Amino acid sequence: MSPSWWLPDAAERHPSSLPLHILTPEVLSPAADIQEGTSKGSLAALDFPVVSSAFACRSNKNAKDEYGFMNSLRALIVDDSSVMRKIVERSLRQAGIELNQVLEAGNGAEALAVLQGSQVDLILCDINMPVMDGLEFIKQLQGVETAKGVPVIMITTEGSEAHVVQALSSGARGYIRKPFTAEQVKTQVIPALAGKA
Amino acid sequence: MSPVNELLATPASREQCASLLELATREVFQLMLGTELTAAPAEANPHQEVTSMVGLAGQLCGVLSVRCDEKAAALMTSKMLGVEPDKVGAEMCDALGEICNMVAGNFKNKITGLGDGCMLSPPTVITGSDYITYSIADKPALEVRLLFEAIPFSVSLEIHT
Repeated sequence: MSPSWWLPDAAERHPSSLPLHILTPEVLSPAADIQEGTSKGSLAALDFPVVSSAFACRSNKNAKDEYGFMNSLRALIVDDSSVMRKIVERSLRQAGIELNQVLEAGNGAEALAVLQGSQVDLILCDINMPVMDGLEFIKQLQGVETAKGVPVIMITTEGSEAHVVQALSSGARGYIRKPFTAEQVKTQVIPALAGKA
Repeated sequence: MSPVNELLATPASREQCASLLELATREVFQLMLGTELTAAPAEANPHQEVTSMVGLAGQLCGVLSVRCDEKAAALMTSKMLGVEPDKVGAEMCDALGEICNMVAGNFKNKITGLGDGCMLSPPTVITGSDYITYSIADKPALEVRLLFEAIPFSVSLEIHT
């Protein structure tokens, strides 16, 4: 059996990355220096890049090359701010996600109406919106046949733990707090899409 | 004592609260507009041609506002949208409202215990400078003045404890 190392505090070392789980010798650099002692145990000095398991050995490729499912995505962006909808779309593109079609809605009710006539691969949704907020939308989404299995990522200024728990327990696959970077969008969206695929 | 009242209890803690407000503002501009803000000189007096406001309710009650001139507002919008400033139109109020909303959200998320205990209102944006606001806040407003692309603007937080 190959040796492996578990780094339980990796998320704290790299808070912007996904937690590390198991590092096997394949992802360690050749700089590893292991000295065995007969009575004092062994000393291992390791020098390796810390990357999340989702991106291990792939970090130099762009998202499109890495993931076949990322070609020609159809995304629905739900936010009451048209400016924020444009920013989210730009962030997706900056994250290397190729968008074939971008649909927009100003609230949850509009989004449900959009989904009656269109199929999408990804939904990014604000929480605080008029008419129907993001949490109610994600609950009602479960009854929309054409949206079954479509990952929903919440993007909102509401960063409270209660909101995060509520969103995730309602079916959201990820949660991004405003302000955000394209890299943060990528970190949330790619695993969600991978889970769907 | 609530986390906010603790923050406002002494001049030193008010200073800390103002620092958090400044940090929250700098982060929003850095991440969403790709701009590093700089400290405004003491004599800088921002024009109040565009005012964006977000109300806070719960453990922290008050109003957070962002004030700037029209040129700064157009430039902020252009940076958010990635378009030339002369192409900015009706989106300006929407953009300023979102900036104010994100500053308020980012600020409250930096205070332990306030994330769940404080709600934000939808933003309101006022254009024009011929107006006076009457605040029911019972403490002087915290105000941070910064330079955005060499143009002064202010972020203020009026708190009703």
